[in-house]
Amino acid sequence: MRLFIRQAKALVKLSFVELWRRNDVFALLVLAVALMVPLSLSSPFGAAGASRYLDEAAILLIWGFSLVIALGTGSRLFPPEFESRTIYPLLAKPISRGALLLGKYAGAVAASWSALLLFYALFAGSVLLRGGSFSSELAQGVVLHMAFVALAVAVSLAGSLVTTPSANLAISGIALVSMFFFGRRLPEYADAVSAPLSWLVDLAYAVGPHAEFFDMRQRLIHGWGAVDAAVFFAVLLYAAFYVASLLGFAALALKRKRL
Amino acid sequence: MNRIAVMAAGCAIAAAAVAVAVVSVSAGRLPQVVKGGGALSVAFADAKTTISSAMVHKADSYFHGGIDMECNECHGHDHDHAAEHDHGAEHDHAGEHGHGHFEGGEALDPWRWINRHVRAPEKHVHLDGKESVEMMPWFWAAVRADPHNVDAWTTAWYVAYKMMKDHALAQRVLDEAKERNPDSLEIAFTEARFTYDGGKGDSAATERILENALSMADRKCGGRFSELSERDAETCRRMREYLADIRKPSAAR
Amino acid sequence: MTASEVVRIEGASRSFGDVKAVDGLSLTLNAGEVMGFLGTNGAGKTTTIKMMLGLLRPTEGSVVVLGGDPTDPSVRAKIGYMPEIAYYYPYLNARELLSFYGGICGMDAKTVRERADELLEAVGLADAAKRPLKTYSKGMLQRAGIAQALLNDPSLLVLDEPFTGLDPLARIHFRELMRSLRDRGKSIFFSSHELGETELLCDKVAVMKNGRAVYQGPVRQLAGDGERNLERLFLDVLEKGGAA
Repeated sequence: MRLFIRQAKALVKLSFVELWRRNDVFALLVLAVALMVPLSLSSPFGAAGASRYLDEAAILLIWGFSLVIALGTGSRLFPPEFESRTIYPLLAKPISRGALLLGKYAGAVAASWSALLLFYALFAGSVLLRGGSFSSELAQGVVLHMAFVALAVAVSLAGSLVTTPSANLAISGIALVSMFFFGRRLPEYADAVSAPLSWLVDLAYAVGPHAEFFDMRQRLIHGWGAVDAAVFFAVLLYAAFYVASLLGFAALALKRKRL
Repeated sequence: MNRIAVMAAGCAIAAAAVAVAVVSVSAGRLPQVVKGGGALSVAFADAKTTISSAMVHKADSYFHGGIDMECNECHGHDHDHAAEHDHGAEHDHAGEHGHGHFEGGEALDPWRWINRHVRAPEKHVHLDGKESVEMMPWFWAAVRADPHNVDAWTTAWYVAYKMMKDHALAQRVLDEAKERNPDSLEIAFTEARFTYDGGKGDSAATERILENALSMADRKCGGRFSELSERDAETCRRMREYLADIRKPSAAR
Repeated sequence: MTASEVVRIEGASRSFGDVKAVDGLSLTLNAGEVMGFLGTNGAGKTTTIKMMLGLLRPTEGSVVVLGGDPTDPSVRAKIGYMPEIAYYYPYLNARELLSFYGGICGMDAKTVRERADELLEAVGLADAAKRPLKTYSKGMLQRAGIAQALLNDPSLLVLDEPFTGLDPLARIHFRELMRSLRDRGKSIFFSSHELGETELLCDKVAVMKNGRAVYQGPVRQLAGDGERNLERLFLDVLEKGGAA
C-alpha cells in the first residue's frame, strides 16, 4: 500500500507540474480576463445593477475552460508516453499497469481540480468585489462541477487508449458538450424520430455521459437554493459509477495495448 | 496550447475591430449592415434574427427566475402560464408562487428524475421591481444583434417603464429604438403610450405622435390599409382605439 | 537456475500474429557479467529485452530474471532499464525526473535526493540538473536515461542502445561507469550496434538473426586471436547464420 501511495504521489505531482508549466491555465485566464473585463465594464442602455449576466458568462467560461483542461489533461496521460517511449522505462519499474492507470487518473483529476478551484476562487472574488454573496448552492455547484471534471478526465483517458489523440478529443468533446446541452431532451428527440434512429437516441440517453446532471449554473445565478441531498448524492454516485466503468474499460485497453 | 489561446484572443479582438470598421464604412451599403447596428449585427450577419430572438428568450427565462419555459424538464407547472406571458399585454405576474413541481404525471426514469430535481427550482420566482434590470443586458444584446427586433425594443421599454419604474431608462430605450426603427408603427405607438401614460399626460403630443404614425402607415400602404401586414394592421387598429380614447372627454374615459 | 544466474531464458519464443519475432531463444547471464546483445534491425533484440522486463510474455518457453517472473513488480524493483531513445517529460528537470522515478520505485524522498545528487554527478548532468528536459540535447537525454536506470541501485541493468547520441567523452565516462558497476557485482545486458564499444565492455555476446541466437559466447572466443575485429566477425557470423 505504501508503494502504491508513493507511486500515486509521484504520478499526481507529474500531472500537476505538466499542467501548470504548460501555461494552459494561465492562457485561459488571460482569455477569461479579455472577455470578462469589457463585459463587466459595459452598461446596457446605461442601466446599472445587472449582475446575473456577468455571473452567467463567468460560470459558462469556467465550464468551458474546465472541460478544455479536463479533456486535454486526460487525453495526454498515455499517448505521449507511447510517442516519447517513456512508457517502457516506466513499466520496467515496479509498478503494475493498474496502479499506473489509477495514479495517472488521480493526477489528472487533481491537477484539473486545482485549475477549476482557481477559476471558482477568482469568480467568487469578482462576485464579492461587486458586493454579491454566496449561499450553500455554490459549494454544491463546485462539488458537482468537480465530479463532472473527474468524469470528463475518465472519458478522455479511456478514449485515448483506443483511438488517436485528435479523434479522442473530438469525440469526447462532442459527446460531453452535446449531453451537457441536449442530454435532458434526448427522450423528446427519441419520440420525434422513428426507428432505428430512435433506438440510437435511446441508447445515447441510457449510456451517454450525462454532463447535464452536474450543471448547477441556473441555481447559482438565480439563487434557487441547493438541491436535495438525495439528488446530490445520486449524481455523485452516478459520476462514481461512470468513472469506475470507464477506468475498467481503460484498464482492459491498457492491458491489451501492444508494447 | 497557450499560443492557441493567445491567438484566439488576438483573433477575437481583430474580428471585433474589423466588424466595427465594417459598420462605420458600410452602413447603408450592405443589406445586413444597419447604421448604428453595431459589431454584433455585422458578425451575426443573416443569423442575427435568430440570435436576437434567442437573446430575448434568455431575457424571458431571466424573468422566470432562470427557468427555460420551453423546457419541459425545467418546470413542472400545474397551470397554464401562457396567459401571463404576453409581454404585449400587462404583466400582472405574481411576485412569487410555489408549484407542486414533481407531483403526479408519468413515472420518471432515473435520469429524468435527476434532471427534474437539478434543473428546476423548488419555487417559481419572477423578477420584479428594480431586480428586473437583470433582463436588460439580454435585451441590449438582442437589439445589438438585430436592431430591427421591435419586440426586443418594446419589451425592454416595458421592463424599464412598468417593472423597474425607471422612466429615464425607458426614455433612453425608446429614443434609441426610434433612431434605429424610424418606420416602426409599434415603436411609435409605444412612444405615444409613454407620452400619455408616463406621468406626462400630454394628450396633444400623444395625438400628434399617433396621427404621424397613422400617416406613416398610410404612406406605407398607399392608402390601402388592407395591404398592411397583419401586425401593422393590428397596431393601426389599436392606435385608432387609443386615439379615440384620449379624445374622449376625461369623464367618459 | 543457479544462484549465480541473473537471467535465464529457455526456449523463449514470441510471435506477433504470423511473425515470430523471437524463436526458441535460450541464454543465460550470470552475476557480475556484461553481455552484449548484437543483431541487425528486426533481429528480435528489443522483443527479447521487453520479455526480460516483463513488458511482453513469451508465447513459448520461459524467461526467469533474478529468480522470478519479470511481470512481477517485485522482480522489476531490482532491474534498471534504459530505452534506446526516450524523450523524457519535457516539463520536468533532471532532478525532478529522478524524483518522479524514485517515487515510482517506492523510494523515500530523502534516499531519492541523495541518489539523484550522486547519479547526476556521475552522468555529468549536475550543472544542468535544474534545466527543463525539453532543452536537453539527445546525448543529455541519454545520460538522464542512464541516471534513471541506475536510480534504484539495480542488480540487473538492461540497456537498449546506450551509446546512441553520446559524444566521445561521454562514451568514455559511460564505459567507466559500467565497469565500476560490473566490479560491484552488477550484471549488465545491453543491445548495441556499436561493435567497438561492445568489444571494449563485454564479457560475452549473443548475436541475433531472425529471432534466433546465431552465436553466444565470450567476446574473446568470437574475436579469436585478436587480429580480426568484432565487426568482421559479426558479419561472418551473420553470413553463416546459425553456425555458432
